[in-house]
Formats: sequence, structure tokens, C-alpha cells
Amino acid sequence: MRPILLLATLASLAAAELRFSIRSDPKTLEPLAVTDQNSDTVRFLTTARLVRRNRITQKLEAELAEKWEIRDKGLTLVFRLRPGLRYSDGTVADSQDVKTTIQRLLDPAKAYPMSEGLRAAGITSVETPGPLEVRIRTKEPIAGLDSFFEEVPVLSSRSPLGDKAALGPFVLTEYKRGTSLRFQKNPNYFRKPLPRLDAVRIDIQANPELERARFERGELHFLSALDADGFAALQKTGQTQDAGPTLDSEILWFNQNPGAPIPEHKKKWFTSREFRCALSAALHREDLVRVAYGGRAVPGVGPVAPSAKEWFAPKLRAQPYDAKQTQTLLTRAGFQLRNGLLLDSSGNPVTFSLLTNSTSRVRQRMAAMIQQDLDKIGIKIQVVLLDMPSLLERMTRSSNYDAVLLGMVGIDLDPNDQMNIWMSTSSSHAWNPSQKQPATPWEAEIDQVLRAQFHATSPAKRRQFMQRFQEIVADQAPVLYLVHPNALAAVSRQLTGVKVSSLLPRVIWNIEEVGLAPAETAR
Amino acid sequence: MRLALSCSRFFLTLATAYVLLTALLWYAPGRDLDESLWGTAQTLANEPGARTFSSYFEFTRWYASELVHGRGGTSIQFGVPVSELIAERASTTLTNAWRGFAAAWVMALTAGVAAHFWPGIGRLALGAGSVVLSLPAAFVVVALALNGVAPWVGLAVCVWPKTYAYWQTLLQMARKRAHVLALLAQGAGPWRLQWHAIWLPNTRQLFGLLAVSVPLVLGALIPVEVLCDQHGLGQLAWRAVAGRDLPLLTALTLLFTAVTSGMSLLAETAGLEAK
Amino acid sequence: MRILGLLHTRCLPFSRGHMKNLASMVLSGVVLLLVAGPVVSRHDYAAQDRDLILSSPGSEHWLGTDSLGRDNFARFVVGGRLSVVMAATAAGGACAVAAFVGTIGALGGSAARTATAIVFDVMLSTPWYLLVFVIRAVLPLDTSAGVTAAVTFGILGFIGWAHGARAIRDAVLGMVTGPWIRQARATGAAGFTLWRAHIVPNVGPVLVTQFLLLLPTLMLGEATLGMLGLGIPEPLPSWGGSLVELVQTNTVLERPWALVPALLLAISSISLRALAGGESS
Repeated sequence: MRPILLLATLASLAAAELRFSIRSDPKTLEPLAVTDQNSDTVRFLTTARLVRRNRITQKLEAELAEKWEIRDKGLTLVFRLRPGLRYSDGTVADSQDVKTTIQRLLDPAKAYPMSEGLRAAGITSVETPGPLEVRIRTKEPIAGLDSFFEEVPVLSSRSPLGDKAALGPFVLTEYKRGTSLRFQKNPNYFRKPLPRLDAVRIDIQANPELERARFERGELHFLSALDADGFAALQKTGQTQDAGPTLDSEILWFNQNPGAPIPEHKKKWFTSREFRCALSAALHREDLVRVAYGGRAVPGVGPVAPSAKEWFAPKLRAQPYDAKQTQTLLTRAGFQLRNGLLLDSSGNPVTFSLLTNSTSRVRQRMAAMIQQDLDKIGIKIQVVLLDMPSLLERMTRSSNYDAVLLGMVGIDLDPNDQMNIWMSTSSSHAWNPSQKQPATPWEAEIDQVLRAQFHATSPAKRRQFMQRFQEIVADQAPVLYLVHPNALAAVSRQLTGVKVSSLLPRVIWNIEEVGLAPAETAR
Repeated sequence: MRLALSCSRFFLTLATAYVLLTALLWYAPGRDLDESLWGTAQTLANEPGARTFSSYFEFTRWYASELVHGRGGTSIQFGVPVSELIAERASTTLTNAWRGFAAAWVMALTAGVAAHFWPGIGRLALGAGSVVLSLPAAFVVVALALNGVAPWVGLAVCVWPKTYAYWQTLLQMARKRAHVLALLAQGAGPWRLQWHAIWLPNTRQLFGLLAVSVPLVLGALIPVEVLCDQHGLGQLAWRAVAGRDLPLLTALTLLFTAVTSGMSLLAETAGLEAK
Repeated sequence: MRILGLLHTRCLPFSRGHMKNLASMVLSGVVLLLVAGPVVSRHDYAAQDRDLILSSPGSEHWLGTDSLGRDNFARFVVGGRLSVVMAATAAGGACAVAAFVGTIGALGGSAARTATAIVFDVMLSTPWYLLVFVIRAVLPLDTSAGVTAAVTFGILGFIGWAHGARAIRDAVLGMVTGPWIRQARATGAAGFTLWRAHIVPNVGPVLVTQFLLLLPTLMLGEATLGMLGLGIPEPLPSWGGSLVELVQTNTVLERPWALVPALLLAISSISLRALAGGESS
């Protein structure tokens, strides 16, 4: 090896800096206030939790807790912490920190995103019998309580740095708004040996094409949010990885809000089960997968994606294209075809608008395909592209829309993740939000089933309730599930130890195992 | 008197731009909505430090008082004072704009002088320039950026044909003047001709051209910065629009308008408008 | 752009007369293609053949198919028609406004002059992309794709009129203070006669030049909007929209025929500018 090469190698060895990018600024750097994926990425690097889900096996694993158990028939959850935990500034981490973190989340004066779930769990007390033990008691048995703590970062109650004292593998050292974030290795990280990377740099890069170009030039080490086009473009480099279907879904729903300022006859269609199911059967989901996603997705089944192995109802299948079923259902609901136009029982032609956001090319393609599919059964739809704030205005405030095509991001495997969308009282219950009373018997049943699974004592019971939930959704089709996209990533050959997962965060979930080989040897 | 008139016109321009844009944004759908919260349990939570307003009038009054106190309000999206954001981003924009601008001028002037000696180069430059002008600027810059070319080079590529064409017009006009013809008749060499006949009498126009080029660069800035992920003021303005960030967009609009109309006044003073 | 109006002095490396002839020929060719295209094309621009996506040119699909299996040639021709017709309409409207405001600015005394100068400054200096966002957002949802496209071009025209208005104001101003109008006044021409006989015929060429310059500017403007995600909505094709696909890396190398719309856009744009240059001389 020539001296110059050697020097270069040494230099890159001396500072093993992992570089990747996110699309926009993290909304917050406050670990408890995280709502978006970008903030979650930062939180993932700088904080540690009691337990962590292995993104490959989908099982919970010990992190800060050495072990944990559920006692008293599900009423008590006991965590035993690892000894010798320290924050980046050297202050000690112990059970007191766990307790104060939970108390902060339960504080009625604060509305953290995680608070609602924790409060609903009915935690009655958090005890610390010793510096290494935490006991959490609840009023009623909560089956998935331990997976709650997979999201809860343990924050220092004593460090002068406050929440900035890092317990995770990295410490945030610099944040240039709109430009980049830099992290250094946390010398006190509890896992030994320490992470192999010395530093992490996250660039904020909104344009996916530029992001890809930078990856190809070696300026970024991985891309974790590739679309099918990007994946296809990078495939020949041999650095792409398809980790299979995600928990995400692309969905279409109709406005069922009784107060919506749209014609009454449209409301009648949209609240008709037959209408929704007929349209669902008129769509070619396999075509969406093949054409819009280049085959890198699976047809949409329901709220629980097939990749959530534990909770998916195995009997359910994606609605296939079925012209006969569409015909039968439409006829039953009084629709008829005349001169190529579908008319409802009062003679109104069936036309409606489909809203989607203007920035997603894949979604625009899907919209064009749905347009053609529905045209075949005599329904004319207008595709309307809006920027996100305008779209949200219509969805959440004025309720002035017919149908929406959007994506849903599955954050957590646990079924409780579904509750904020599916409980009829929720403001995110997209098609008819914030109901005082469930508007329909099936929405009432969904509320009941979801509440029941929340308090169920055994995983088997929860699975039963979740199956029922999925059956109701499949039967009523308030939301048409179109596809579950695959997790597509590109990972540089320089990186070692990466295990791309379909769960978020897809590439850095095991960052302490990731290493960076010098560019020369990787070639 | 003339200065007072110019100043009052300058401030009237600012006021008009302010009223038009803020009113537009105020009545645009999606105000105070945060897209990242879609699908999460939270409803709307503004950043701490930002405030919301119940009426357009209230906003305007508040903003005026902020301006009087030398602040620009607090950004709704970022939750930090607008002045801080602008200070953070300005250097990127200034660097890009300055480099792009300088490179465009160097290219245009070099081509101009070269064309004087070798007309073939002039034709080539005009041809290349009109091809660039016939493609969307954003497209040219992105195509270059995807191949690793710095955005300011793209900016220069997009701006120079216009600068060059303008420069050529100046030269042609100069050539027809009596003193140039006289010099030519005396058999003056090309360098002398360039310097005495063309550069010296046209300094005022050149200065005006400088002033005119600034808005040109500014105009190309938004698409260039947005599509090339340059973290400058143009991108900030785009994000302000997309996020309906009223205080931020107002401040940026005032800034852009001030620069453009200031430059346009300068250009007028330099006698460019009389052309 | 402010100094666009000055570009026409020398536009291309050929003599002006040749240039103009060549430009007219090229433009006639483009128009002929756009008129005849849909007649000879066997495909509907929106029909998707999902088993034949991104295919290469062949006897069935002369320019191949796009990512949804739609015939590129049909889309290209229909998109071209749409871009040209709408940009021409918008440019016409913008020129009318420009003529009106520009004349007022030139003849209306110092107050009017200051007012129009302010309007120009505002128009030329503010980020008007916002307008596209807002207007697109408040359009009724059942607005058809065609109307949305028309509105988009309308907005572009609205943004573009100030450029022309400035040039027209300057031209009228130059004429009013120029020697032959003084001479006409001296010989007794006034009011309507002065206008009809002396000003309108002389402003005409300036207007035509502005129109010819604005037309490609609007077509390019639509393309820029398309790249920012605010272009002509699906399933309608447009030349600008086809540029968006080009920007993806590798497209150009793998499917060079995708360049055709971009090439035609550039050629038309160059020809229009050349014509504008000829017109002004």
C-alpha cells in the first residue's frame, strides 16, 4: 500500500462518519414531543428505551432493561435495569429516571403524543424499590403494556443538561436548521463494545433524485425511503435491498361525514356498503402493484398489513378484481348503467373527485389507474392534486371533498397503533372524524373490539379481537386498502452489519452494530 | 426632491407587495395546519413561541408593531424568530447568487470581447445562449445538479445568455455613435476602440445592467434552490408558502421586493429605462 | 425577465432574413404535426396498456409508451396542442392587459406613471408561485383537468403581463416624445386621428414581439411548475409534464426517445424567439 493510500485509509478510519439524509427538518428535538418520522430518527440515535423491538424477528428485546416480566395476572410490569448506566455527560441513569419520565408523560397538564395511550392504560403507580428496579401497576390488565415502553425514551431527572443528556449511542452536537445534523459517538453508551461508527451526519435533502445522485457519488451511505423508480434506477449498482412489505398502506376513502358540504346523493353513495365494496372490487390491485410500484409492493388487504405476522388475520385476502361482484352489488344498491354512465336510483350520474397530494408521483400514477378502472364501470372521476395544507384543510376542517387517496404509515407493530385512526371518537378517524356517538353499528363494534383487545390479558385473546376487527373492516370497506408498499433501501457496500427491515427505522435500527469500511477496500 | 420621490415609490411598492401577498396567504386554505401531524393522535400544535391570529387585521397590526421594533415575527413552522432564519439562510443564497452572477458576467463579457475579434465565437455564443433560453431554467439547473455540478454554475449558465445579449446590444449601439465612427475612420486598433469607444462611455449602462441582473438572479432562485435542495432564502420562501407560514413569507416578500425595486430604481437612475 | 425585450436584437448566428424564414418553416412543421397528429395516431392519449409499460418505439407505438403504458406519441401531440393553444391564449390576454396598462403608464401623467411603475415592481419581484398554490387549492373539486390546465396558464399569463407592459410603456413613451409624433401634432393631428394613424400602427409590432416572446416563456413556465408539482393535472398530457420524467437519472440514456417533447419545446421556443427578433427589426 502506498503511503498516500495508507494515509487516506487511516484518515477515514479515524473518523468513521455515517452519512444519510432525511427529507425535511425534524419537527422537534424534544424526545417526548416526537410526532414525525424525522424527529423519531434523531430520537432513535440519541435516546435509549427500556426495551427495543428487533426489527427482523419482530420480538421485543432487552435494551436498558436487563429483563422484564409481567406479574399479578397482567396488573404489574417489572423492569430490571442494567447496572452502571450513564448518560453522555457522566450522570447516573437509574430507576428514578424511568419513574420521572413516566410521570412527565402522565402529567395532565402536558399533552405529549404518547400520553393518551399511557393514560388509557390506567397506570396507578410507578414504584422504584431499588435503583435498578421499576414496578408499574395498572388498574386493569393491559396485554401490550411492555410494547408501550419500546417508544418511551428514558430521560435524565438529574443531569444539568436535562433531556439533552444522551443515553443512546450518539450525542447531537450540531444542528443547522434546514441543512444538517451532526452526532458524535456517546462515550458512555451502555452496550460494549461501543458503536463502531464515530459520528453520524444527517443531511436534509428534499429532492429524492438529488438524494439518489448523491448516493451514487458515495456522498450518502444509504437511502431508506426509495420509491419504486429510484429502486429500479439503482438496481444495477447491486446495492439495493428489498426488505419486503411494510406496515404502510396506500388507502382510498370516501367522505362519510354527515355534515359535509357535498350533495346529499353523494353522501348516500358513500355511506352505502354496497357502493364501497363494488368500487373496491372494480379496482385492479395487482396492476397497481405491478405498474405503479414495479412489483415492489403487495395488494392491500386491510388495516393490519400481512407483514405484521402476529396480528394479521390469515384468512383475509386482498379484494381481487371481480366485475361480476361489482355488478351484483351495484344493481342491489339501485345503480344502473345507461349510455356508458352509471346512474344512481334517483338518476344522478355517478361522478366524484379524488384528492391526492401533488408531491407523490406514485400516487398520481395510482390515481390515473383508478380513474381508468372506474371509467370501465361508468364512473367518471376527477383527479385533483393539492398541496398538503390545502388537502388537510379539506379533510380535517371543511370536510369539503368526495374521496381521498393517501398513504398511511404504520409506526408500530402493536395493534394499539390502529386506535387513533379507527376509534370513532378520534379526530384522525378520517372518513367521519370526532363522532360523539358511533355513526353506524359497525363503527360501534370496531370501537368495542379495539377497546377489548386493549384490555385483553393474553396475546391469544388480543389476536382474536384483532381478527374480528379486520373482518369488520373487510366487510364494510370504509377504507379501500390498495397496496402495502415494500421497504426499499439502497445500502452502500462500505457499510457492514446493516440489516434492512420493513419496520421503521429501516436501516439504523441496529446502528450500534453498523460499521463503515474505508472506501478503498470496499471497492 | 427626486430622491424623496424615489423613496416614497420604493415604500409604496413594499406596502403593495405586503398587502397583496399576506392577504392572499391569509385567505388561502390550510392556514395553521401541520401536515406532519396527519395520522397521529395530535390535532394541531403550533411551535412554542409562534402565535396565531383571529383576523387578518389583527395580524397586520401585530406585524407592523413587530417591524417597528425591528423584528420580523416568529416563524410558525420553525418556531424561531424570522430574522434568525433569514440570517442563517442568507449566506447560502448570497454565495450562490454572487458566484452565479459573477460567473455569468465573466462568461458574457469574455464572449463579448472574443466576439469582437472573432465573430464566429459570437455566433456560437448566441446559438448556445438561445438553446439555454429555450429550456426551462429549472430543468437546466436540475439536469446539471444531478450530474454533480454546483447550483451556482447552473445559475450562471441560465443567466449569462441574457446578460450577453444585453451586452451585445450595448456594443452595437456604441458602434453606431459618431465618435466611434470617427475613431474607426482614423484607423484605431481594436483594443483602443474597445476601451475608449465602448467601455468608457458605457460605464453608466454597465452599472445599470448590473442592477438589472440582480432581480434576474433572484427570479431564478426559488426554483433553483427548491429543486437543488439549496438551503437558502428561495427555498425558505417556498417552504413558507407550502407551510402557510405567514410571518416568514411576509418577511421574505418584503426582503425580495426591497431588493428588486431598489435595484430597479438604481437601474432607472443609471438611465437604463430611457433606452 | 426584464431584459427579455432586448434579446431580439440578435438572436441566432444567421442573418435575420434567413432566420425568420427558417423559424417560420419550423413552426409550420410543428403546427402541422400537432394538427395532423391525432388524425394519424391510432391511440387515445389516456388509454393505459398496463401490459406494455415503458416500451420502446415500434410500429404500434411510434414513440414507445410511458410508465402507465400510454402511447407517447398521442400524449406528445395532444400535450403539444394543449401547451400551444393555452399558452397562446394566455399570452394574447397578457398582451392585451400589457397594452392597456402600458399605454396608461405612458400617457397618464406622472401619477399614473408612478402607479404603473409600482405595479410592475410588485409583479416582477414577488414570489408568485404562491398564487398557483392558492388558486389551485380554492378551485372547486369537480373542476375538470382541462379547466385546471386553463387556469394554470391563466395564472402564468397574469404573472407574465408585466414584462410586456414595461416594454410597451417604454415604446409608447418613446413614440409620444419622438420626432414624428411631434411633427404629426404640429401638422394638426390630434386625439383619435393621432392615435389611429400614428401610435397604434407603431405599437402593433411591439405587441406582436411581446406576444412571440411571451408564448415560449409561458410554455417554459408550465414546465417549471410541472417540475415543482403544480403542472397540468393527470390524465392530461403536456410538454412540460414530459420534462419531469426526463429529470430522473438514467431516463435519457435508457429511453432517448423521451427527449422528443423537450427537443420540440426547445425548437419551437427558439423559432418563436427568432420570429420575435425578425418582427422587431
